[in-house]
Amino acid sequence: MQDADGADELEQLLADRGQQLMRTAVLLTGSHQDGEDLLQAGLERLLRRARRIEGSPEGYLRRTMYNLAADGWRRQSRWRSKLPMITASQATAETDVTAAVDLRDALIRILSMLPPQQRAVIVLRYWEQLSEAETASALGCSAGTVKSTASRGLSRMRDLAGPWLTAETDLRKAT
Amino acid sequence: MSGEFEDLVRDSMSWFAADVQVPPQLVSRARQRLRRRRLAARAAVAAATAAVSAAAVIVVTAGAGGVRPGPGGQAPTGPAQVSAYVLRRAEKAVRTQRLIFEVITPQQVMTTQRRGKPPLKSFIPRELVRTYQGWERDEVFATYLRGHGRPRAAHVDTGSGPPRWTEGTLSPFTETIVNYSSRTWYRGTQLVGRGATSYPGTACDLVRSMWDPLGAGELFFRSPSFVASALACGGFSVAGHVQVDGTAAIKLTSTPRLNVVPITVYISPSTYLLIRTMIGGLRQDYRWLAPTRANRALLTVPIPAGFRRTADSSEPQQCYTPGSC
Repeated sequence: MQDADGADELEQLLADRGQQLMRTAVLLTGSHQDGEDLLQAGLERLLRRARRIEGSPEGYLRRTMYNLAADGWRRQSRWRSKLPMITASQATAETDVTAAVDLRDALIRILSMLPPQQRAVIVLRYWEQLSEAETASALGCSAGTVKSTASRGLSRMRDLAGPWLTAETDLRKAT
Repeated sequence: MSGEFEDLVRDSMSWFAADVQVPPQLVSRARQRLRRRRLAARAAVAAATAAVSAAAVIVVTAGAGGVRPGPGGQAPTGPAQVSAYVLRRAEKAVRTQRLIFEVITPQQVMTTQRRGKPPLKSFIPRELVRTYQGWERDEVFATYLRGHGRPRAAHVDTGSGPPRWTEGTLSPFTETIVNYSSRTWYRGTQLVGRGATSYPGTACDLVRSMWDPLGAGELFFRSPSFVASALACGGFSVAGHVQVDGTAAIKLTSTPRLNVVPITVYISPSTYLLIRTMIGGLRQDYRWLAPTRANRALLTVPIPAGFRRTADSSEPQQCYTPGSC
């Protein structure tokens, strides 16, 4: 980013790649509002360091968002507050034709309950489809950490999603 | 089963993010927020300095076995007495004399070393910031335009009262921006957040937990509690007495414990006021001016004759590379 504070270049970047960046931000945070805030925080950091950044601003922006999310940015016990929500949903989960939608919805809510680093690794590995090495590079940790974190995160998600998984399996059998 | 579950997770994420849209004005809002943060950081400068000096004195006393007496006074004998004595002097110098604090960023090329990559060069324009009570004047000079040396833009931010240091407090500021390139000026009011006064844990913990330590250097270095805490947790050490442009100075350097971009601080051994900082290769010099009528006039920006008033509050474009504007 060689021009001024890079704002024009950022506007162009958002026009070209904004939707994908916003989707990633939403998944990293678990809500549209927090995703918007995360993307804006990333843009702010990019603007602050515009004159020192060489190469792709998108790469820098992505890395910033990943790290902010993994560092528990705005964590503030937010994910803990979702616990009652998920517990209530579990109690009312039933086998019906909306099971598939329920399962997706539940998985997203479960994803938002994971600790920030686990969530970031899951999003990078299974949404961004980065390799373990690429994820490790983006988050500044080792590939082994990525592997174990992803494994623990998926395992935790699978445990919490038990009722919905059972419901969907029943639905498949019935159809 | 494992592969199936991963597919389910992936499918769920695609479903959830399918209708996400980028909100408009995101870059503009980010710029606005960045500007407010910068103003908040600068507003903390004057108050921070007393803490810098006082905390530095304690380290000097402990690390160098004593300090030189200040002018016009006999230094007490014991280390604790010396610290308390000089601490009082430094605080008094800043608080009772109400000095105008001037930060001078010379035009410079900052080189950042990067592992496995060629060094990165950043072209920093000359900038002058003066802070006094609720006033701040920020003057950025053109770097590569013909007529270098003329200010490219100047801001004056006038507070409506004495600074308040409560985190989250927003204070109304009247902002005046003169753009010497477009020959326009703007004046308006905006709410600006003030610098925080406390942080969880020590400064060393805070910096270690931050993703962007350079940001810590830029934004938090000037906060009183941050600097005091950084010294207390061993984030700085005394590197001895040196000369800065022919002036005696005490040199403090950040330690690996701070784990931040290297920071070097030079303070006066007689007044304990800041003289110079080097933050990650960026040099900034400091001057302390008596608030005489002439010096207070330096805090204002006259609107030159013929300049047109505009409703556009955006900052003028700055030139960081030759030919970029």
